Amino acid sequence: MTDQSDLLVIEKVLQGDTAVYAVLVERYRNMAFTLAYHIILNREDAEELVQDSFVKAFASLWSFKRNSKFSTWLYRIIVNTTLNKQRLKKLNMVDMDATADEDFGSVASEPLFNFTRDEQRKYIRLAIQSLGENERLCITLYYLNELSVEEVNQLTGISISNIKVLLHRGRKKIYSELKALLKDEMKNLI
Amino acid sequence: MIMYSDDKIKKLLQVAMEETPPGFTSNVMNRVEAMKYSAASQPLVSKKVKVAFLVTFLLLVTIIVVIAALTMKDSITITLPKLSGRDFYSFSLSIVGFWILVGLNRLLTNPFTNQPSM
Repeated sequence: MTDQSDLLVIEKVLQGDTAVYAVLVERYRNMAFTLAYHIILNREDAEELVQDSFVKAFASLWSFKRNSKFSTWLYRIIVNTTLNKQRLKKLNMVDMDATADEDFGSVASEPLFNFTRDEQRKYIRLAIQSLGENERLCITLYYLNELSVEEVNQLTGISISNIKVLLHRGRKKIYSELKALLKDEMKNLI
Repeated sequence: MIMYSDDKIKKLLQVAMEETPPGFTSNVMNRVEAMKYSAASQPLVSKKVKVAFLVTFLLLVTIIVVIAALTMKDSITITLPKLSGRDFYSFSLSIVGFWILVGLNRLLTNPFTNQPSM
């Protein structure tokens, strides 16, 4: 349904009704932002990159092939844009660990009980932070963006067997990290 | 023992789903509106059409040249001036000189000869 609806929106945009593009932005903004954020681990950069990606997607919408999903095509743009930015950042010797601490530095010292939804979110984010870059990317694309292993492979260039290993390792790390952080409280989360 | 089930991990990740800051969509749409006349539409001529135009143009030029060559053969007579041996000598010398210069130029700009010594 969404795929068909996406195609209708795209047709309208290409016919000149650009305001309708807001429907696609609204539909995918959170998924797109989560994906970029999980790669770059910085909210401001992620927001800027996702905005750029949506504008890029709009600019090259005419080249979008109807035989694939718009979401997959958009995620590809986001991954490429974000990874390029990430590489530039690494070249500029920015300390990513410090950036990660910026958001979560105080979390570990908080008491581990009476979790609100926001607190649960913080701990899960912290667990996600403990993953390697490729693990975060694969876990996000596979579980949140709901791409298949084959699609993740096409999008990232990581081999299928490696993706499976990364997913397995990522799941394991997330649970271990949460277990260490939350102990008995973890079972309330799921 | 913790089971690493796909559903559970999915639920966990959904809890931590990030949300864009307020005004995100309007910011994107402002940028989109700013560029809508320049980029959103498909280019007037696609690559395939461009190639087709080029091939057609070259074909037409070739046909015209061939037809012209066949039909104008008798009507145009070109009278060449008689060249003396000296003229031929200077002509050949200029061609040889030209190619020597081209050869020297290529030799000097050859990337293999321009590599810095280790």
